[in-house]
Amino acid sequence: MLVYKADTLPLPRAEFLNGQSAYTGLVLHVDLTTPRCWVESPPEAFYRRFVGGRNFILHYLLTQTPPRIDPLGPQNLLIFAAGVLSGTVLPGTGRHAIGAKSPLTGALASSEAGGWWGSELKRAGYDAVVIHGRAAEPVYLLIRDREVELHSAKHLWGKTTADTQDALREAVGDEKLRVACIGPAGENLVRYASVMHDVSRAAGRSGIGAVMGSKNLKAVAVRGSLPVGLENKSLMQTVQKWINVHYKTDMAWAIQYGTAGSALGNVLTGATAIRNYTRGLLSGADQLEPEQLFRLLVRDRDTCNKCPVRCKLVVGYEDEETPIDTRYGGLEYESIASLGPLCDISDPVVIAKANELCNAYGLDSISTGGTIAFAMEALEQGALPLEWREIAPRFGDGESLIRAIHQIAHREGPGDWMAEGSQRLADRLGGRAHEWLATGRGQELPMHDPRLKQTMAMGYALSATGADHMHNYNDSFATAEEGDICSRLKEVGLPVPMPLWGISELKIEAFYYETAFKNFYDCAVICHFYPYLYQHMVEALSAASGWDVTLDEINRIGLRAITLGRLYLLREGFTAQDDRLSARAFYKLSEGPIANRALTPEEMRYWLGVYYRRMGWDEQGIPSRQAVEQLELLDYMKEN
Amino acid sequence: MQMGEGQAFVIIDKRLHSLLTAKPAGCAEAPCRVPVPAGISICEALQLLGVRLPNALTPVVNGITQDLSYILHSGDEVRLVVQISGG
Ligand code: SF4
Repeated sequence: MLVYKADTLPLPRAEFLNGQSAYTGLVLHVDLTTPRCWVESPPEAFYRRFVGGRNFILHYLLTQTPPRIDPLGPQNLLIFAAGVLSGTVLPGTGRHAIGAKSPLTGALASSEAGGWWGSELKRAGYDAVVIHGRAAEPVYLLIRDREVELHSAKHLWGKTTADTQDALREAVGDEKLRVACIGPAGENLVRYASVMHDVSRAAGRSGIGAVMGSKNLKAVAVRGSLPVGLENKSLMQTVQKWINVHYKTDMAWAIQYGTAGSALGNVLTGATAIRNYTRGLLSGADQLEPEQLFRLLVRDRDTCNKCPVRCKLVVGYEDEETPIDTRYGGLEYESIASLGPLCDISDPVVIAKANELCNAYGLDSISTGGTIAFAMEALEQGALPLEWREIAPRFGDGESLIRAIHQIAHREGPGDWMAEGSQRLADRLGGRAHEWLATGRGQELPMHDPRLKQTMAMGYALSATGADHMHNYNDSFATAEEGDICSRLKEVGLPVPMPLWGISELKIEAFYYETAFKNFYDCAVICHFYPYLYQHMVEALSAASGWDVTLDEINRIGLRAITLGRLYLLREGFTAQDDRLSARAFYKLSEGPIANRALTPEEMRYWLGVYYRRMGWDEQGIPSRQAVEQLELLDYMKEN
Repeated sequence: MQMGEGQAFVIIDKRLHSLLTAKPAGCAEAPCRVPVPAGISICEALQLLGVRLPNALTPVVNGITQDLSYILHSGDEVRLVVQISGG
């Protein structure tokens, strides 16, 4: 359909081709409308300022999209961005980010995925791919050793993610082709559709899959043989040596059971919301006990590029009634909690089946569970249309949960309304429906209950992506003398442990540093489970790039992502009044581990003000010229 | 460290036990229920027992989540939940 041979395209940096650098120096742009492609070679200063991932995404959104566009229109961009560290020998760097304007929130969509895709993109000769426009009919993009091909995907449209990957691998004749694709949910523009990689790794949040569907882009497949090198191998070896010793103890939880191992503990501490945030206790919670879950469902383990931890689970169930296909991978804590306890369900087989369907259809499991739990409550409150009473999902009813996922992916019956997300569903239902909502900036809350993790709650309200737990501060993790978060806080001179409950000036300071560090991770792009400290990132980034990186520089790279995110929100019409959470985040329970605990909206507003000041923003949350200038981002402020 | 009347109990389940870098006295095998004096904080009780692991712990006392600074009362039962990093 369209082929650009490698010899017609610019070469990566000589240092990269020689295996002496970790970044290619090339960004591939593909316009699906015309169609055509071109290659950009950003200067070294661009890489040093932004590193990759979320910062790259925000750079392109702020400079190459007009304000207030339709997220599902051709003017939106879809940006796949690796980082300078992606694909290097350092464990935990097999990741990349995907971003766009979110069709769920109207704000930033920026989500990361593990597996192999990001590393493979680098080996194929590009640091990022920016998709423009909209194809006239379904297409897929194939990138192999810099060569770019665009082919019809009419025969793939309607296929699940695993069937799409299988078909592409067969067509190309390469079992190791790395495929990022959408399922039927993305094709049907479900506002929280995900992009799946290697079938089981989701760039899940904020509806990136719907943006891909709106562009008629079914898949981006990559394969490469170029070397992802280093400028300074011996410096990187010091970090490798440290992690090769420490992962065995610091990540023992991940080696043991992956994130699924935390499901029962999180129910017991109140970190998991139950029955749409209305209950403190889950009946049948013992079924989530990790050993039992493993015996019942886990068939194998899986990993990401160059990761010895193998935290990924391969889940299967050999049963005629509820077969679970091992191709769709494993249960993660967030999926267990949102498709289980949040819907008042504790049967592991039902939860695993629901997770399999989310991965097959390409749905974000958090927003799927959150929206279904909201619909379950709406049904219970008598707020759904009469004709749906028999076919809408019900609390505690696994069969209706599974049916709802099919309905959402295909926009059938109540699924058409649920496909819009819980906020739009509440708007449509009217009445008291907003009282049952658990969202931040219109995105369903992750499964770390804001009534327990109150500083994280503020992070949910603030994030440019809508409520997110990854680039956030986790109150429960910073309560020890040891552990990666506490060690990082000590590195920047803060006392540990931090208190669990409430917010304080000290916790705002911890939040300020930790969110900057997590945003650095999402630029670099690194697995959040890896317990690296600032010093390791200083050494790793210096080793990969040849720059003389400092601790302050790591912090500033993360602060740039936060500040660019803020500038993007303001440009899109958000104000400080939108830095808030919906009613269920403040709803006090009368039972269970977090009974009577929650911030008030007024308390949250107060602490938001303290954070604004720490960032150099005014009381309206607008970054001062000085704060923006200090981060060398004035050129982006002009865009507003 | 101020001791109160009576004892509280720390429950060490199999999961926690397997992750500890130092096993507490009186808990060679899990699950176990180890007595500690009432009147001390959970943090102090963990030091007393020699409980160490590279992750944070969240204590749940009689079914209610508490901070590590919570002062134990006689008869309290503390379940310790390991916190994992990341997502
Ligand atoms: S720890 Fe798990 S998610 Fe992270 S890189 Fe390794 S396998 Fe992937």
